[in-house]
Amino acid sequence: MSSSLVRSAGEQVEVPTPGTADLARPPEGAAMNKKGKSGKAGYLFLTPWIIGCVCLTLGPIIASLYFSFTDYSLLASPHWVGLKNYSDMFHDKRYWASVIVTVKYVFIGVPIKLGIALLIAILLKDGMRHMSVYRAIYYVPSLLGGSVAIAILWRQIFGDPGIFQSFLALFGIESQGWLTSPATSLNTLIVLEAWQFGSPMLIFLAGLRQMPQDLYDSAAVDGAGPLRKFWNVTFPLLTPILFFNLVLQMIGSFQAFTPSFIISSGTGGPVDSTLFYTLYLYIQGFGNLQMGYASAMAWVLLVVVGAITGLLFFTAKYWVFYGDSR
Amino acid sequence: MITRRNFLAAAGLASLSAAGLTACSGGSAGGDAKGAANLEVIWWGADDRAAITNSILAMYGKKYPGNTAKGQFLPFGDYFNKLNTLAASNSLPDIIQLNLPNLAAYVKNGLLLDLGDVDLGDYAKASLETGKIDGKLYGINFGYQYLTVMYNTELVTKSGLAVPKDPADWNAWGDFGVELAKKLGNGVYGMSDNSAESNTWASWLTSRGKGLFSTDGKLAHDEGDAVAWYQYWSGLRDRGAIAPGAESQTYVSNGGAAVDPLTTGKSVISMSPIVQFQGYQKVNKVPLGLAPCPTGPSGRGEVNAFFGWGISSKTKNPQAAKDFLNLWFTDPGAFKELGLDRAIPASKKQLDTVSQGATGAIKTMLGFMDSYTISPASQPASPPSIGSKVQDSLTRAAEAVLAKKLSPEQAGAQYFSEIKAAAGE
Repeated sequence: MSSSLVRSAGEQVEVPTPGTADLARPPEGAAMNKKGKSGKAGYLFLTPWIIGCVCLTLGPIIASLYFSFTDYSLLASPHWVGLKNYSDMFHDKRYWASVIVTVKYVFIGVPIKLGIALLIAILLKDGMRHMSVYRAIYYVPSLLGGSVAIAILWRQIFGDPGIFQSFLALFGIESQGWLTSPATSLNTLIVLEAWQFGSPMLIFLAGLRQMPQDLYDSAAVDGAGPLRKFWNVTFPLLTPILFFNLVLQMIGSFQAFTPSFIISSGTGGPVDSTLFYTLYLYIQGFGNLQMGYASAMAWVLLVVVGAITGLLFFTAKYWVFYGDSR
Repeated sequence: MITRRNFLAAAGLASLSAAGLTACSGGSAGGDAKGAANLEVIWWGADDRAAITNSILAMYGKKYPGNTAKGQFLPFGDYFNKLNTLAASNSLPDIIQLNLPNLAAYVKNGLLLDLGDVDLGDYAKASLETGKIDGKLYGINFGYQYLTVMYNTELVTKSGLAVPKDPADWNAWGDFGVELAKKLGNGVYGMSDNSAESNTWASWLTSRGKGLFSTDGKLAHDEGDAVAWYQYWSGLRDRGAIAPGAESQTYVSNGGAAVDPLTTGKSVISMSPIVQFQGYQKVNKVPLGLAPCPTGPSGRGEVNAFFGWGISSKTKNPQAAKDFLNLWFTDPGAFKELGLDRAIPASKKQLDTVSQGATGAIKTMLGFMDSYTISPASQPASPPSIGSKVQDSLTRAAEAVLAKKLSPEQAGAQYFSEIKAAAGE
């Protein structure tokens, strides 16, 4: 649900490539001069989007902020309860269980996913025969990833009895249901997440293929080997793209919903081991009719994701190398 | 080249959608034109139930020319999320299928019509009790629902053991499960793990003279009952009557005929409301047998929980909707279509119609019902704040015991503290 929204939003973002953005940007003075004329027409063309944004996005967002201070139950009209929903979260064991599951999912899943994406992108960087075919194949899981069908497939593969279990049994390995055991269920979902590395991979690939050749030539003249070239040339130039991928993937993973909803049949089980934050929010809102509490949870998520994103931006100046920095 | 700001907007918008998660959408309610009623009906269930229900909707159209009744159905897991959303957006269908945990919440929020004046023919009054809130009838129960013990007849024969004679208590059935596992071996266990099955839990409580809730909406059981419950199932697991943790996990987490070890041939006995017997027989290759539910210190744990039709208080066609219920519960044609799909009929005429030429699972069910007199107590409605929490808490505590994360004592305490908080006590 939410994860696919985010993912598609990420895919529509123009892929930034080193060395091209400065050329594409028009001189600021020219833009200012034309603003008066083109502004109205621009807004006119934007009207359908603005109407959609206000009615379908901003409206519900503001409504949810109001509901977060009420006891809204879906069935009855809301009553103001102040900060009760927010304070209740501190005493709700399941809430904290969902926070822990989500944090594990994000902080283990995203680095693995980005690591795989970068590795495959490096392998695909230099032209090879049927390159576009490989790229397409690696990208397919990302296209399917957010969908219900792939979550159902995952359940068939790693369920109990499941295809993976039968496969291991061929080699005499007895295993439990990978999704039905609380010890392994979240890890199986992390594998599902990491498997959908196609979208960050494409962005890495675009970045890798835009690397200025002269820097490599200079490095070669200085006697740098492949590893040294990667570490001293490729990686620093790639950090803006890594940063970009990291922020988008992290936000997407915090909002992951579909895999757990489908695979655990909407319960987050077994023993809350796959209870994603968003799933608990959904259970509280639509299952337990505590829409006020669910709205408060959504706002806490927004603030936390915003804070972590802000923190990433803050740390960026220490490790992200922009082409325009000195 | 990425500058520090040029994707801030995209990232910001992406995170904002978190706050939009709680947004919901609406539907449309049935309207009327020049006196013609176009009823909308909604229920949960599988395709078989949809075929049965749709043919009765068609009957309604024929009996009341000009009127129509249109149905929609969802799987149980999605049903109440959808229904609650429809209720929130003021677009409930005219006729809605409800169950006991949700009935009171709908009544308290003024969403249901008083059905006291619907003509129900010879429908037994005793079965109506469970659809009443504060003395008024808001839901018409499809009929009797009560727990039964189902067993694999071939495996029982193979074991050389005899099914416990009624009345048999919970321990007698447990001991039988232990014996079955010993005799059969080869990874076949005596019983399915029903420690997360809320109907079995309600029956267990009834047999102990307790219940889920009292008629005034208060908790009617205590922590000790819950601890004893988890101890019962843990004890059976320890004695080898039911499969150990990992093997029982799928059934405990999800329930249902398809994943019940009874169906997969891994257990001989399972417990389920009698109306699910047809569904079980459909997926089981061998003939299943039926036995009355176990007894306890206070007798048989028979309890009739509401599962039936309600009418939306916002309906534009209250009379047409009531006519539909009249047809459903009194028309011989409808009786024939219905069979035993949703309940054991509370109408003698309906039961007689279904009995004519009965075969297969229906014949087994009718034969079982003839063997003793049923008189299930009515299960009082859960308080409005409860919803699906009994099932949720029961399941999570049962899962934790299976995974050895909680002892039966801790599980009982966890379940009870959650239910107590949900009931506001």
